[in-house]
Amino acid sequence: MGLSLQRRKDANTGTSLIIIFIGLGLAILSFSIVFLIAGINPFIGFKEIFLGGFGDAYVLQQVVKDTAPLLFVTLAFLLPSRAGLWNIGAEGQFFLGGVGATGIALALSNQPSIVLLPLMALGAIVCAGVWAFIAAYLKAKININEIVLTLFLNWIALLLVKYLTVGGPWMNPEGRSESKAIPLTGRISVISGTNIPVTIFVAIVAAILLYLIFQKTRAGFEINAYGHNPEASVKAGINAKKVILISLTVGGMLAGLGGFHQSAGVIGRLRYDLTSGWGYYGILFALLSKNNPLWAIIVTFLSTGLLVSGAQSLQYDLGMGGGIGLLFVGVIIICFVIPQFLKEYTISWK
Amino acid sequence: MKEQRQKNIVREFKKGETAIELRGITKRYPGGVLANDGISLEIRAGEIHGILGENGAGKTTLMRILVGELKPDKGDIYIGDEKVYIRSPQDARNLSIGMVHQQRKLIPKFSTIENILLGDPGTGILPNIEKSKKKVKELSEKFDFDVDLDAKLWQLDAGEAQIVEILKVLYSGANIIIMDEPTAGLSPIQQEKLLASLEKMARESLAIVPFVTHKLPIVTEVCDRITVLRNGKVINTSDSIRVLSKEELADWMVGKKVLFDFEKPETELGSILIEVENLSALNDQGVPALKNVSFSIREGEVLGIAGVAGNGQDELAEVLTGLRKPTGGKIVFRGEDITHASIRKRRELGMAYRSEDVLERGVIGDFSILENFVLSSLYTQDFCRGMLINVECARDIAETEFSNFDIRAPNIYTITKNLSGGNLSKLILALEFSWSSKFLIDQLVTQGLDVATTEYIRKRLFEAKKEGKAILLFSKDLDEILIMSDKIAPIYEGELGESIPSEKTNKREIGAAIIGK
Repeated sequence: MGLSLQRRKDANTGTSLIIIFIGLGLAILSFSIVFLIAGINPFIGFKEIFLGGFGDAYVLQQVVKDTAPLLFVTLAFLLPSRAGLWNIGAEGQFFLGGVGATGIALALSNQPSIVLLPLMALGAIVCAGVWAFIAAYLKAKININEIVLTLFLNWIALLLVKYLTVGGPWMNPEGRSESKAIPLTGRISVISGTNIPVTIFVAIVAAILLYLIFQKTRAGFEINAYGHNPEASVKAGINAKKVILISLTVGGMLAGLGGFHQSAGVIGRLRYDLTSGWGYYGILFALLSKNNPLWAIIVTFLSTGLLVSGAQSLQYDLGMGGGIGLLFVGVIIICFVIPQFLKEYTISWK
Repeated sequence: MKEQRQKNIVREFKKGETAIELRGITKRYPGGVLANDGISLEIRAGEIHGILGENGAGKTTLMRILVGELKPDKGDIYIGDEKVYIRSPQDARNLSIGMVHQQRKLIPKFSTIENILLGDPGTGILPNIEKSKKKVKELSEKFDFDVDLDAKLWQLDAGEAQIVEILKVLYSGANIIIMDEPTAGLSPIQQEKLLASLEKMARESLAIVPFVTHKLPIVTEVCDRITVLRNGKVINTSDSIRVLSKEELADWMVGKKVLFDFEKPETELGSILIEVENLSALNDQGVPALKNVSFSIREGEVLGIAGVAGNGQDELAEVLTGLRKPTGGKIVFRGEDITHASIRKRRELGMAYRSEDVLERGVIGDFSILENFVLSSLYTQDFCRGMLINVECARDIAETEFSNFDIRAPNIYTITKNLSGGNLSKLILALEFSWSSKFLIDQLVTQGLDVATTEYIRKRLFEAKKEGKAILLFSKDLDEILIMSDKIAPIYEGELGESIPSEKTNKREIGAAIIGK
């Protein structure tokens, strides 16, 4: 006697649309409950979220600006995830990207932009790649759990940044807890008329490239195959170590580009609040986009608007708690995962 | 149908009395497959009643209905004169129906007695192990079972594990015992012992219902009656199985004449394709499982390795294919030392492998049939080489093999995990036959397959032999090994005996060699 699960035989595309609507409905319902508990009229709450995300040109510009780093970390989770690996380390890899970019900028500050910027990007990619490679290597060689490794490396990365910027070698002598400024030659140019660094296009191109890699290339096929059944893939001749090393390391590099964008494009220096939890948002956005890189572009943009920026304005304008954004992301995932599950299974009481 | 729970019916049957009766059991799956079509059956206490049928005949569905995992759409089940409802495994247990699964549902780290007690409603919160042991010992003595109750399950061989499953069912008080492929994975000696015990159980007025696809002659030997299923219907129920020829049985099962013993083609043997010298390896527990194994196979030659499961066959296959590292020795394949070569390199050189645990290692369930063909073609076919690949690259080969192997699915874009067991087995074969390998390692060629597919596979293997491929065959089925191989080597506790030409040996000789005599 109890709940029993059965796989549906007749899952079809027709139900997919219904699921999106059910998911949305559930999300709106649960958000309303949260608003009511906080003593806020849900209509005002939703209006605030929407205005806070897409309300005017300025807000929209901020959202597009933040979409870039968030898209990078989303892809940083998505790529290894296709190989069945959980990269919880985008946060740390993002920091290391900032470290690499800032380090190069400070060391070669007299170089012209044309030399400096590519080197900074390279520095970000290499540092973040090495950071992810540590986890990837230990996973591939002696099968240490990558979730634990990447998570711990996040804290080490944060401490490294604190060491460099708070009293360390890169500390800004005039400021408090930040590095010296990246010279103007090392700043990423912005789209004219806005304050959005052009790295947003790099993020979008990276997503499209990833999509093409999964669709059209042998490497993408191998990563996918390994993610679905490691044993069968290894038996077919796929090199497991290579898949693990490449997917995790390249994932880390993508997160590193996010760090490059943020330090050289937005803040202009390295700070220990370069990212505050964005690496973890990436995990949730990747899950929401069902590991599809093209969907990731749209999902990241919408989520950045509604759940990051919009939720922030709930905090500032309506006085809701600071964790409200993450709460909503969590609620949304549950609202979409449950109907997704019900698409494949039926539950009955026996 | 009344929706209350099935009440407990505990009754002792007299020998010859009807234990359970099915009337017009019909089950149609969503998607339209009519798996059971008006099946009526009567099973008596004190008989071994074999249910025979090839893959897709409806055996699994019927079994699942009997143990409460599936509900029939139509039809009634009677125990004695009483109509009963089996809506859950719990109901089945209350009706004293027990099931011995083919895939054993036991816990390796638990001892035999713990496994027997596990899940039994009578065990209670504080199990009285000593008392239960006494009861199990009585059961063992009664039916001639020989198993150490304190041994951990992982220490037992396949035959002993099978006995634990049976003891578990007997301990729970079942008197209708359903068995799925009771002899699968057992050596000839273990099979004989098991079947003798089943006969003893039947004499104690238990109803034994083995469901069988392969090892027909051995199992039917002990059956008092058999029922043959085909396409979800009862084709025949016979009392006089002992006089039936296996050709006649196969006829019933497939509905057409099938060839059982066909001639092995005479082929010219070429040069030595693979040579193995003093190969040694450890098993997963770090214990030497392969000891100084040496053999060689020529082009167009089939070497059969006969042995009881767990004597080093898996380790040998894995070392050859590169899945396991050897601790010593040398493998030379097509003139190249590949002892430490990657799996990819071995496949590129033309080494194909069909493993025993087909579902875990053979295919990717979430991929379509076509995508699985791409996977197996990655390093073996020219059309899937290069940095850029398109899944359509394998379409021709996938379509061809799909129809050659008669895989029952809508098309090659069907997601693999939706295929039935028999069709999956065929697909795995098709995957490894689809490319022009030079050397084929095949574990348990026809296990779990129906007669028609078995025949087709043997034909394909002989064709491969004619094309000059070398074949290494692992099988526990001595008849099969004798039919298929040019030479046979017994394996026992990791040591491989000398290869003997198959015409110079016989079943008895090999049978003795694989149990170390």
